[in-house]
Amino acid sequence: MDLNSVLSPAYLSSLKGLALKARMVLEGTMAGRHLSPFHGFSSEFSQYKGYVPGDDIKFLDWKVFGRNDQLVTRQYRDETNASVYLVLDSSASMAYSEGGTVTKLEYAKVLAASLALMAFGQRDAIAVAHGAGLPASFLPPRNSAAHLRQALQMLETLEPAGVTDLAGLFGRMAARLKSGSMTFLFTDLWQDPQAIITGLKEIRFKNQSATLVQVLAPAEMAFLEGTNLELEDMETRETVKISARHLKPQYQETLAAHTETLRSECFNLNVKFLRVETTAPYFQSMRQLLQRP
Amino acid sequence: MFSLLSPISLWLGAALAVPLMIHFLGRQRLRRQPFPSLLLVRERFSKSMHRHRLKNLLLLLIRTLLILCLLLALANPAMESRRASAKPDISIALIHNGIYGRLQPQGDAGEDPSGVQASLPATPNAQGTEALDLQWRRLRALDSLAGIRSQVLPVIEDGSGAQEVSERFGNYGGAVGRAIAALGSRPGTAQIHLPVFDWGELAALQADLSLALKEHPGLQFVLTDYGKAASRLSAFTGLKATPSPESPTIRLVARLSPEAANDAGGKTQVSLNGRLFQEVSPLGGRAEVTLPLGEGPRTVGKFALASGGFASPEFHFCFPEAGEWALAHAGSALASLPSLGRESYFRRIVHVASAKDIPWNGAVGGAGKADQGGMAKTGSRGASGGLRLVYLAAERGAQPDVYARAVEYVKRGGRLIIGVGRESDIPMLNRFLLQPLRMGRLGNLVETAGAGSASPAPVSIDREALARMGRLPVDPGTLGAVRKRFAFAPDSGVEIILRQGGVSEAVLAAREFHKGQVLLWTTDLDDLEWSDIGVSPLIPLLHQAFQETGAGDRAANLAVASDSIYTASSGQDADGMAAVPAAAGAGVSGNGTRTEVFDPEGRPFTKVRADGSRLRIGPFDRLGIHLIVTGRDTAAFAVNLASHGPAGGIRAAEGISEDPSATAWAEANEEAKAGFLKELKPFRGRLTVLSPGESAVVQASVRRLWPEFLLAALLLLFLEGLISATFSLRRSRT
Repeated sequence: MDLNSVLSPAYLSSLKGLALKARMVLEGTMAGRHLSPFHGFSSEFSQYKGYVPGDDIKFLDWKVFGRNDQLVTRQYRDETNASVYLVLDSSASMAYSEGGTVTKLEYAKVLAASLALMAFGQRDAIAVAHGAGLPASFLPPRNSAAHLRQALQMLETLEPAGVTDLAGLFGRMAARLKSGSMTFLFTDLWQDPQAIITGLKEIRFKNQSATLVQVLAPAEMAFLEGTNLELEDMETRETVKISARHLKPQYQETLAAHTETLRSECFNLNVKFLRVETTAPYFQSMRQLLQRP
Repeated sequence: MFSLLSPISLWLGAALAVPLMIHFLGRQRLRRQPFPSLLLVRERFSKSMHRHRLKNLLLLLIRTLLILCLLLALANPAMESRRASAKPDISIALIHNGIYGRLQPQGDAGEDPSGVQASLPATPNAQGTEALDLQWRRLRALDSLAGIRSQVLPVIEDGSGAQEVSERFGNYGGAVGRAIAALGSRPGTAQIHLPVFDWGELAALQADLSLALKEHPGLQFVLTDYGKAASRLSAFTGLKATPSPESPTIRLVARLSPEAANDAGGKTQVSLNGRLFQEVSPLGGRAEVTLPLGEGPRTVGKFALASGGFASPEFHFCFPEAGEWALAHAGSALASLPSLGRESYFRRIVHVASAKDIPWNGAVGGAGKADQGGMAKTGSRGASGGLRLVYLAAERGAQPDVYARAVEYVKRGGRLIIGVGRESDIPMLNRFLLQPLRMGRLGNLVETAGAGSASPAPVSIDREALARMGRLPVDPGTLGAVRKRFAFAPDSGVEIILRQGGVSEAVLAAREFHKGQVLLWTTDLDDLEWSDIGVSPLIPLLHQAFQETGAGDRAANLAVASDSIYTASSGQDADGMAAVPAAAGAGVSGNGTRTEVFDPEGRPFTKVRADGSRLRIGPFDRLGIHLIVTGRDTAAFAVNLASHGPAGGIRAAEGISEDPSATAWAEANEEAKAGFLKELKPFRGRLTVLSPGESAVVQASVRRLWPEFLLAALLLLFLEGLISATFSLRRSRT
């Protein structure tokens, strides 16, 4: 069984326990790499790296140069005390799973738990928050095993409800962020882009890095099939009769425009924007998350 | 008028339900689907859905119309073209003479009897089709009453007047098929004019006509219904002929059927020998006309409805060649009704108004024109031409010189029959005629049957005396009764042929006087109050034999037949054959001479056989004179004036007979017509039934519309694609 199959949402959805899923995802993500995603200054040697012009020459390993006549620099594992904020949009729309095997919220929870485990392994403080508008629950950043269990339990028991208000959620979360923290925002972004941008700006001004993860089900990206549908808004219960087959092209155009707007604004705010699909293997999404911008 | 030539294709109209069902069922099958957010959907929803609904409605409409157009194109629609109706491309007239009758010309008498006149332009018209200006004038008349039945003559007339089809067909089928084949692949429209007499016969062609109409969309049939008119062939249910007692005329009364009597106008035309004699208006269902007698050697008359176009049964009565034989007619005529049509009897008798008009010189005329020389010449025995037989009815007021000429006539070999009646001047007759002829004397009037008496004494025959007169039947049958006669005292040498009781009670006496011979009747043959032996077949035979004994060898082989009117009632065998006595029997079968019998149409009887002295002929089913040909000689006799011989002689004598078969035929014909038209109802616009005389040029021609509908379907298909493409383009632009 290959990695794609083991770490696919379809396979992992059959397992119980978010911690187990997150650990498997994390191990799968790190398999073969054995590299810390966080490279920086540390007293713990990490690896050699070929010298390239521009590197600080103080990290040159002269002994190696003396033996092999090669210029290499020494790299050290960074040791930080950063706080990782995991913010999940738990509005009712996150319960959507059409086209996939897990809901958007379930997918986001696995990703968040995996990040929490990784952060705990790096002795970073973990903070978890979720909500549709106001943060329904907030676990402040700490670095302990008990805190990790509490965070995972909180994620596991998370249920979708409410109407999306990302501006309110992000704004109130921004007030609780500590400087130098890393924030991961898991949401489907079904709101007016301007409101989202407003909330993002507040977060961006409070910490150093932020990653906006848009979790979408396949049906949300490709739209539905069929001619006569009565769509019901999962948050507001509003209904509308459409012909999906005829509306599909226009939907996709609008979605692309909506995404492009957000992507552009995120770029301007130096916020990493990532869109994942609930059918994508977790480790792929994790690698995208951990990839440096 | 719009019509569908293949309406059965409309059954495919169920296909119309397909787009409708898809449309409406699709609308009802609405599936509820939860969706995370309508944020992006709501934005585009209103415009898109409105366009979508509009597009759906337009497409539904167009597709429905598309299928409808295809269905109509398959149904082969056609529409009468008013422009083309007046100018059909070609016209075919099928002349069918399959009726036993005569077509009455409907047009001007002086024109050619051909029925169709047409003109065809040399070049096609602007529409590319040939146009024919057709004027239907009248049907081609039949050649004769004896024309061959069931002959159909297709006539295709074009502008040059060429008759493209001239062959005759024995039925409608061959002619219609030939006419359609002659149409070939000509463009435009064509009309076939078909006079119909017998719808039953045409109904057998219903399948062929349907196929022709289906395969030739421009083909039209114009049927002229002569069926009702044909029934007028038997419109005359009876004919009564009554000779006038005062003039040499005969009064004919034809009884019309109720249908014919109700016919508008109802003019009845009477023609003699092919010429219109008189047109009368029927009164009370009876058309009456008085005809002169002695117009010619043989008179053939005919009753016909002026408006019907068909002849009634012809009536035949024949009179002798003028001047050959004479009948001195005075008072009540000898031409009693049963004698009408007996050519072998009357052709040798000339009617004259009175004794003074006896043409002793051999020519009919007044007394002043008679001369002794002529009488002497014609009175010679055995001579051809001139006076041979005189029936002299003793009339009151006859001049002695007339009787003197009669006596001289007998002396020179003439043969004289003397009749008496209520107007006879007996003393004058005794003195100037009977006594000079040594016949004897007539006495007072004797009434042999009183008022209370049931029946008078029968008349007996002296067979030996009768045999001496000539070739007479061995069994003359029943003569009848004599109620009134004059007493007669014969001289010596007078033979009493018929008597009523004793010798002194003579009814018919004969005597040879010099070279001639005399017959004397003591009763009035033509007055039923006096006697009814005048209606006996024996009397004309006796008279004929009387004159033939003076004709010598010239009439030796002449067979004398009796009148079947009487044999039908008394002498007809169980197998319907009439026993016709052949005179003496010598020339018929004894010497093996072949004898043939022909009906009035010239067709031979198939059932003729001779047994000894009798010819057995029958059954009789034709009107008019029948000819018996034995060797080189020809005799004739009349069968009847009615279509079928009535049972009783007296009834036949009155000439009145009903013909129920005609009514039955008319009803069957109408039923066949209704059935035929019902079967061809899908082609009603192209099948026109006209009344006789109605113009046939008003019929419209048919313009096929399936190309238009097919074009419309293609346009709709293009429009459907255009609409789809337009909506797709708008969608892609947005």
